[in-house]
Amino acid sequence: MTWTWNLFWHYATSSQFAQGAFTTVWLTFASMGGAIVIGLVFASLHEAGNPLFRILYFTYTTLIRGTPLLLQLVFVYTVLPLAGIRLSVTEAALLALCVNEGAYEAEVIRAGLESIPVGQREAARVTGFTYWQAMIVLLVPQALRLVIPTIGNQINGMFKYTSLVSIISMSELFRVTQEAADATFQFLVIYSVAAAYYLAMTGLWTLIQFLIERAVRVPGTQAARSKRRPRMGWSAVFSLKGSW
Amino acid sequence: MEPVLTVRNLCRRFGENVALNDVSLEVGRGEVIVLIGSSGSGKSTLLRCVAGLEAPDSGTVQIRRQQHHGDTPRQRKPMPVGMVFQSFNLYPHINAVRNVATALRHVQRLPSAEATRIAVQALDSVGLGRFAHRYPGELSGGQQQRVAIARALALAPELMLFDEPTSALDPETVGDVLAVIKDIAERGMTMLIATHEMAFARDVGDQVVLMDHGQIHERAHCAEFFAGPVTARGREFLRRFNREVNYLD
Repeated sequence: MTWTWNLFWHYATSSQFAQGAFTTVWLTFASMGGAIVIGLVFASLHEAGNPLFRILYFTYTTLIRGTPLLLQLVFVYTVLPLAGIRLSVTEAALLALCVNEGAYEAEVIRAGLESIPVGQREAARVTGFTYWQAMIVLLVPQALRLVIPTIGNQINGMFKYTSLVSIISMSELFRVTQEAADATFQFLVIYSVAAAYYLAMTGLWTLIQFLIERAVRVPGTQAARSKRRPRMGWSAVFSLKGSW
Repeated sequence: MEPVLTVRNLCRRFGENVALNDVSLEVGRGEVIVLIGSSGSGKSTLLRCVAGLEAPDSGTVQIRRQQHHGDTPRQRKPMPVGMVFQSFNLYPHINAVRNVATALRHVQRLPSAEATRIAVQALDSVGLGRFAHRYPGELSGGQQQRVAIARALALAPELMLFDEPTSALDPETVGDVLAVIKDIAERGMTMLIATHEMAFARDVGDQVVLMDHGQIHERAHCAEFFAGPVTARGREFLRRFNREVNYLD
């Protein structure tokens, strides 16, 4: 097993890896988009206070969060066709990832909604807003702002969870890597290329998340204030005092 | 005087705790009623029942709407009540003018420009026109409370409810908020104010309602009440207040 930079760059710039990485990126964002919509709907239903909605919410989140994603992927791909629901590999992957991640997003968004002081709901109610109007216009925009770091975290995770869809033969980055490694036995170089791709994706996402957080920061809030006077230099690194 | 608000035999329990016990009250148009009483006497629960935030166990709340003869835009239906809370309850992610305009736009369905115009007008009326584009986090407690008052006023309510509007404020900003409330009272707004500010109550109120253990203990004209309450509980309450005033003097 030898390391050669030439081989590393050869695979890193090859079209098959670029194609695989592209699939991983779009699958990540498409799954997260779907999951956030599912999460918003379920979290809003939960907050509506209807016992039936709550039972539905707890059944969904318990069932999905209590079973492995790998199992859900295989279930969607192999069991649903037995019931006459035939899905392509891509459709099966998207469905399983959306439904799985949706349960986590529902919990994340519920936490965001429940951290908004109840007085705001009362103010909305007394000014004539209906429950769903208040949710859409006033509460969800606030909740989403609050949970950006958590959703960002989940997106970071999703880049890597998508590797599981290789099990149902979807040609994303990990599947492409495995095929290349099996064909050439250059395990060290080829898996290093894959690791570099995943690192680049999550690194870039961290930067995008930072920019989003900065763009939606509300003037006068703690997050905005703490950025006003940043501690600079090595003294800040070695200081144990902390700063408000 | 035609009553705007009629409360009949209102009862509300929270478990073992009786918050309201057979409360009946009428408020005439343009009248300012000040609710006083110690914490837990039922003032807030009464206001919350009137605002529809709390469902009473029994009894009725009736708010009579004034007939509008085409002087308001077609879409615009005045709200029955406007409420100002102790903790402001502004929406922190939108600026002051949007805080005021949001219900006009989304509930009363006014066009955005019209909603903004009314919101700026309402902010001007509480002396905050130049802070219209500040976010709640950039305003002092007193200014936030004045935005909350503007938000309620902009909806042209029949009745304004104030739930201890100055309890969360520092003494220096209390005066600004009380001046705004007094100004609204002088413009003829019907108001129900729960407060611990006795000097303000004496100054702005037409009538005082003393609540104790979920019941109305005494109702009197302000001048009469502060000159000498009829009931023993009223005298005791006022004596404690006067002692505080003497101590401060």
